[in-house]
Amino acid sequence: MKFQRLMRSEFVKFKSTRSFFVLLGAFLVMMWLVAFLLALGIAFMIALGTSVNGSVVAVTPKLVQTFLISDTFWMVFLVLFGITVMAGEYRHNTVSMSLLLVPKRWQLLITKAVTSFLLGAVVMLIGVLGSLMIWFSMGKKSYSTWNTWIKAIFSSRVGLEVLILILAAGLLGVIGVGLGSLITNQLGATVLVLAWWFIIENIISAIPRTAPAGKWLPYHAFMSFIGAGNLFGNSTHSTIFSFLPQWDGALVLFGYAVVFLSAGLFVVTHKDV
Amino acid sequence: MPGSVPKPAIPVIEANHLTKRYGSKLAVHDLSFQVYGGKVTGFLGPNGAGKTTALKVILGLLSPSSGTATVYGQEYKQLDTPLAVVGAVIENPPFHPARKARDSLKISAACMGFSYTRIDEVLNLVGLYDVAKSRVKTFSFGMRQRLSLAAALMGNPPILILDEPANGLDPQGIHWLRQFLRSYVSGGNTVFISSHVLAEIAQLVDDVVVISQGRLVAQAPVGELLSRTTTSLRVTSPQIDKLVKVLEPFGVNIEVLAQQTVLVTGKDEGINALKVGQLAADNGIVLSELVEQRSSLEDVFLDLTSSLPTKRFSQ
Repeated sequence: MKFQRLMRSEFVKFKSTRSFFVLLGAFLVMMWLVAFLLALGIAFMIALGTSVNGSVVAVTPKLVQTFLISDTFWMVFLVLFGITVMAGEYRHNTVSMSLLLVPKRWQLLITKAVTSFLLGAVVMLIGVLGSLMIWFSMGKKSYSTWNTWIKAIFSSRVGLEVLILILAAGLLGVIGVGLGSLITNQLGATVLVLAWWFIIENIISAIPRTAPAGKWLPYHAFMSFIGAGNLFGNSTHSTIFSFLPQWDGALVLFGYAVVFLSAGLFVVTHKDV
Repeated sequence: MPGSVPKPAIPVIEANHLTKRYGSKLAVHDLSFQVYGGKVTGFLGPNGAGKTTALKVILGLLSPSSGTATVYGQEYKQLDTPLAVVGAVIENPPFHPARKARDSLKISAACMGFSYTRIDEVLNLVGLYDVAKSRVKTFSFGMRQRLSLAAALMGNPPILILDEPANGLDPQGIHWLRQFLRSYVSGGNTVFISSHVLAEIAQLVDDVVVISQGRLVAQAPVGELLSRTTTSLRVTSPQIDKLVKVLEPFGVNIEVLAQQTVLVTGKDEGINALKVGQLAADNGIVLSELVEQRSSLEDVFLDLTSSLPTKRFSQ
C-alpha cells in the first residue's frame, strides 16, 4: 500500500477528532504560558535592579537558548499525543477497522510513528515561534532593543537549539506511539508517563544508590539532548541535574525511540484484535 | 470431450484445519469449509460457537493457532488493497464516537486513494446520507451497523464478510439488508454472513456452514437442509393404545404427549395423515385429532448444533 495514502489516512484521523487538537493545543498554551512567565520574571528582576547571572541583562543568543530550554517543561504532552495516536485506536475499537485497511501491521505502526514525528515537530516549531514572539514583544521595551533581539534570534546557537527542539519533539511523539502500542490502555499509559516524567525519574535520580543511572533515563536523555547541561551545568554529583553530554543525550533518546517503537512493533504484529 | 467437463467451483474463501486456542480453551477446532463465489453463504452457530473468531482469523485480526484461512488463495494480510477485495463488518461497529460519519469513511477513502464522492455514494446506499455530518455517538446501534456496511462497501469489493449484520436493525432494516444483499449477489458477488438466528437469514442464503463449539457440523446448500425437515402427526384418540399397536409395524417413532395424545414421526415419507386416518378407519379406531406438523429449518439447525459429528453434504 502506498505510504503517501497511509499518511493521508492518518492525517484524516488526526483532523477529524477534537482530542488531538485539545492535546496539542494544551501543549502550546502551557509552552506560551511558561514563556510569558519567564519574560515577566526577567522584566520584574530588571525593575528591581537585580542582575541575571551576575551581569546586567543583555539579550544574547545564550539567553534566548536558556529561555527555550526552560520552556520545554510540558513537552510530555507530545508523548501523550503519540500514546493517543496508537492507544486511542484500541480505546475506541477503531483498531480493527485500521487493521482491515492496513493488514500489514508494521505499515500502520510506522505510518503512525512518522505522522507523530511530523506533527510533534510542526507543533514544536509553532510553539517556539510563539514563545519567541512573546519574549520579543515583552522584552524589546524593558531590556533590549529590536536589533539585539533580531541578532540573538537569528544566531546559529539559537537556530541549532530550535532544530534540536524540533527533532526532540518528533522523537517524543515516536516514543509515545511505541508506548501506546505496548500499553494499549490509554488512561493507564497516560498516567504512567506523567508519573514517570514528573516524579519517578526524578526520584530515581535523587536517591544516591540509583542516581548514577538517572542521566541515562528517558527524561534526562531528552533534557541532555536539548542542552539542559548548558543551562543547569553538568553536575558531577549524582543529582537530578546530572546530564549526559548533549550528543550522547541525542543518541540515547534516539535509542529509546527505536527500542519503544521496535517493542511496540513486536506487540502490535503479534497481538490479537 | 475436454470442453464438456464442468470446471470444479473454486472457493473464494477457504478455511483449512483452522484452530484458534486461548490458553486451554479451544475457540475454533480443526475447522475446514469453503465459500463459493456468486452466492450468499450463511455461517451459522449458536452464541459462542466460534463464528466471530473464525471470521477474525480469515480477516487477519486474529492469528490462528494452526491451520490457514485464505481469500482468493491468499492470506488477507497478503492482499495489496484488501478493502477492494473484501468488505467486512465485524462485531461492534468500529468508529470513533466523536468522529462524523463522513469523516469516518474519509479514512478508508484516503487510505485507498478513492475520491470522496465514493463516500456520498455508499452513505446514500445505506440510507445515511442525510446524517453524514453527524457524529457517530449520536447514532443508534442500527445506524452504526449501516455505517459499518457503508465502510465495507467503500472499495466496491466482490466479497462481503458480515458478522451478525442484522443486530440492532429494525424489521424494515432487516428487510432492506436482505434485499440489498440479494441484489449485491445477483451481480456475481459473494456474501459470507454469520448469524445465530437461522430464521433471520434462511430466506437469504444459498449455502450454509454450521458450526458448534468451534467445530464444523454441516456444510450444505440450504435446499439440502430443507430436505432434512421431517413431518410429524399429532394424533389424539380415546383408543390411543390400539392405534399405537396398529402403527408400530410401520417403524414410526411414537412420542407420548398426553394421556390420549401421541406424536408420530415417520422415518420416511411412508406415513402421513391420510394413511393414519385410513388405518384408524380400517381398525375401527375413533380419532378426535389428526394434525400434520412439519419441522422447520430451525429444528434442523437446532438438531445439528446439539450434536457434534460433522455432516458434510454435497456441494
